[in-house]
Amino acid sequence: MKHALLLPPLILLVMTGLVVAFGTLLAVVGVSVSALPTVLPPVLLVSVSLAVVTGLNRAIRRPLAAVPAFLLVLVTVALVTVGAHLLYTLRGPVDSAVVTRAAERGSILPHTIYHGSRFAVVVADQTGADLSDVVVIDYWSTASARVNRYPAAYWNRADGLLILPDGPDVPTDRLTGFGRPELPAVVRNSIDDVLIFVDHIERSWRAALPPRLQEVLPSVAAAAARPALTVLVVALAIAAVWTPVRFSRWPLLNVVVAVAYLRLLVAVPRIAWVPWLESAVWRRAPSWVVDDRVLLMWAAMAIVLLIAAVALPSLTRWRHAMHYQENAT
Amino acid sequence: MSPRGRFFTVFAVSVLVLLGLAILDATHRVAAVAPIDQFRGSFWLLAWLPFFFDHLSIVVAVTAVVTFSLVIDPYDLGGTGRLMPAIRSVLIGILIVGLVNGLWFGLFGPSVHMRLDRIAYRSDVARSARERADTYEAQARYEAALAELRLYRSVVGTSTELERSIERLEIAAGQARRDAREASLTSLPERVPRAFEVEGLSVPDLVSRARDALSDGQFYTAHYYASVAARQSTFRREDALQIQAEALNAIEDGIRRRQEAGQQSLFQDKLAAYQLMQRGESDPRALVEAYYRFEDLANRAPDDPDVIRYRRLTQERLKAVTFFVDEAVQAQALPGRRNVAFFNPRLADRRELVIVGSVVTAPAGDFFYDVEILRWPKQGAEGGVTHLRVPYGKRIGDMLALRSIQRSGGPEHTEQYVIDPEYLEGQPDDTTLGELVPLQLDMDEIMLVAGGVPALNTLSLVDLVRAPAALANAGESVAPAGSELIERIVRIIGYFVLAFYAISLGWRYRSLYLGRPPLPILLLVPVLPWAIWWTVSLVRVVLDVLIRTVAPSGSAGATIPLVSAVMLIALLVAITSLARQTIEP
Repeated sequence: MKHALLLPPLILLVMTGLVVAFGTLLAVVGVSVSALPTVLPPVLLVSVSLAVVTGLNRAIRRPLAAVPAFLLVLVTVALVTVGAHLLYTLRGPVDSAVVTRAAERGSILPHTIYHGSRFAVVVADQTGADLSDVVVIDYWSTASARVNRYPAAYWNRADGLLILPDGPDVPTDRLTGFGRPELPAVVRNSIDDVLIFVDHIERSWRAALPPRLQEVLPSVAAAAARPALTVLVVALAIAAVWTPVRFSRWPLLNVVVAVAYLRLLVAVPRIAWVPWLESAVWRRAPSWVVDDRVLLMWAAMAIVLLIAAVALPSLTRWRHAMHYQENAT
Repeated sequence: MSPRGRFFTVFAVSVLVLLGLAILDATHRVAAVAPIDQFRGSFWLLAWLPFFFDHLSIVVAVTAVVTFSLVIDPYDLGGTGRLMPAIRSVLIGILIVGLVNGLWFGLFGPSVHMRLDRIAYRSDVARSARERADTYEAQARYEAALAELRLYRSVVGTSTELERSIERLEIAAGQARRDAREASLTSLPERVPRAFEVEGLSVPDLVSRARDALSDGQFYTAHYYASVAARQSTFRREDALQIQAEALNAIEDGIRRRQEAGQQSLFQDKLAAYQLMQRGESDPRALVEAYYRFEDLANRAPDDPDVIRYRRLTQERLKAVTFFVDEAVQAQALPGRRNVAFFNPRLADRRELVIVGSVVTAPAGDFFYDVEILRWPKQGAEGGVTHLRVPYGKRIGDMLALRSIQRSGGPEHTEQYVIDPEYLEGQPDDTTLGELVPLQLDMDEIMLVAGGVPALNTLSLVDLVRAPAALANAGESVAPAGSELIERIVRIIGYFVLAFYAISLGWRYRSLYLGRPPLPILLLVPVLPWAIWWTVSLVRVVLDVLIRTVAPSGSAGATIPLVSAVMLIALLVAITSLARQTIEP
């Protein structure tokens, strides 16, 4: 097992490579050039994450390098936030809804029939979310109202709905190819989560600190505190991936669990807003917890894994086990 | 247990889990489609298969990973050397399952999807027919209810209860016909007085009545009274005999005059029908009227050579512009395709969108049901919107005939026997040739695009190769057809890549625990199927995007070699990786 320690970054490389390839291709081949700024931040994020994990790998091999490795994590996560912020600044005003940007990509070919199992839609013209001359076929409807033509319609991309005046809301996600290539739900969710993840980090640049902290900190420090806090917590959470990587003496499972952890990490900004969590947890929590729920969830994940790391066998024993395996294979 | 036994045990357990999930999925499908009772069993039998085979490769990969990473260790395999020869039986098993998997995606899968779709279609037809039959029966429209119930029977087959219902409706319809006939008779003025009560009448009375009837022109009555008077008289009543003779003469004269008038009327009707037939060359409605007139003439003079000749000619011409409703209704019971929408690019300044509820190819022709056509001007062009709807259509040559007629009718008020398009918006214009719409797509293309993208899984590999061109002609997005083709090839070859690579990866990074790992570690094992499923989904999408980037047209000529090459390289890598694995206890 000569390259056992390179396995995590290798797996991550494959995973992120796929995301990068897909994102870039979407931007380059996609129907809209405006998709490019949206795709680049996650590309940047996954590439940098790869560098972080690789750096950590080196740190484990040489324990004294742990401090520079963690600094590397901080710098790279900071780069992500700066990069995302710059890209979004170049792109223009940012929408308030977190998920809007995640879904805002792709365009519709004019006078093309987009078929779903229930609806089929034809659009004559598109300007952003405003569609004109829209024909909607509802195969499930009664014969008298099966085909309707609307002079205008609004495409609510955040919710994936085509809003028709005096008509049913048409779920555009079910119309294959409408606005973007049809993706399996698992992939679509992953990409959306990455975009929301980056969006959330970028939003830390614009989010105000709690008033009490603003009073205490000078203006420059106050401006930098929020992004710095975010960078720190995210860096900690990413760095904690090393715990699942040496979780057991089963390398394959370790890598899979590490990937699952990263996937969960990226999904946190979305999970934090799921309705059942809203009613079960956030309703009873104090307002500062509710406001910073995502940051707190990341912090909790990082802390749990760092504590678990303490409970795991020592690094020396683990490295010995790996060394044994390398010799064995 | 031998390594082979362990592998197949894990495989059997995984398959059982998959089977459970597939049955669960089938339950949802059955609930969503709601097939009628007669088809529920066959739908159930097929509905679990798509989910099962969609996830079979994942199950094999999970089995391989779990078995070779956790369940088997080098000591179980005995000896040292390469891994592949030691697991030959496992590899053969994987090859056999791979063959079944390939047959499914290449051959059986599309036909099962097609069967499921057809069951759903026929269920819809039967359900609608039954509902309409009930509605019509409640409205006392027994003939219409009977037709719908017969359609229902032709879909679901016969049953005692159904036959009883049909018989009941036949009786009700017959009674309604008789009632209508009697109502029409009673509404007529009483032409013949009840004049035959002769009991108690004396001979002079009878003669008197005979004379009155004769003077009223009621010759049969006069003849009857006079005959009774002549019989009852004890002597020869010359006056009665005279009235009898005069009445007889008048009857014979009347018959002759009626025959002459009938021949004249026949001639006139033949001329009118013939002229209508001639006019029908430019006016299809006139042809329809000519058809009904010749049908009437055929009843009146079945041996008339003119009627025979021109009736046949009219029928031939009629078949070129319209069709009979009963043909369409009968064909509706046959398996068909649903939800068709296509652009018909025949007009320079307008767009024409044709929407069809269902299409059936029958021996009597290709029939369309619930047809709607929407026309609107292209950008910059002038003109209004036209939106029409018609329950039945038939492809005749390169035309879609929108006018259907009842097979039997009368020469008067023919419009009641004709089903013309209903214009929801706009008016009939000169873009249809007597309700004939020229179609730019042939029937094969229409069947290929039927159902749109959601129905691509019903197409065979050969059909998928042809689908992009048909979709482009129909104005549908082409990319999904290319994706489906890529997906099929990836599913067939990818199975082997996944299985071989799963063994290789599992073995290479196998568990180092001596014996069973701790429980917390075992509890994390379900993450493995998730990770494999997630990675496989991602790889499939990336492959799809990559290949469509290189071959954006989605044409099979470019797609098939590309995707095959990529997959074969991946297969080679997977086999090489597996071949390099060794057993070193």
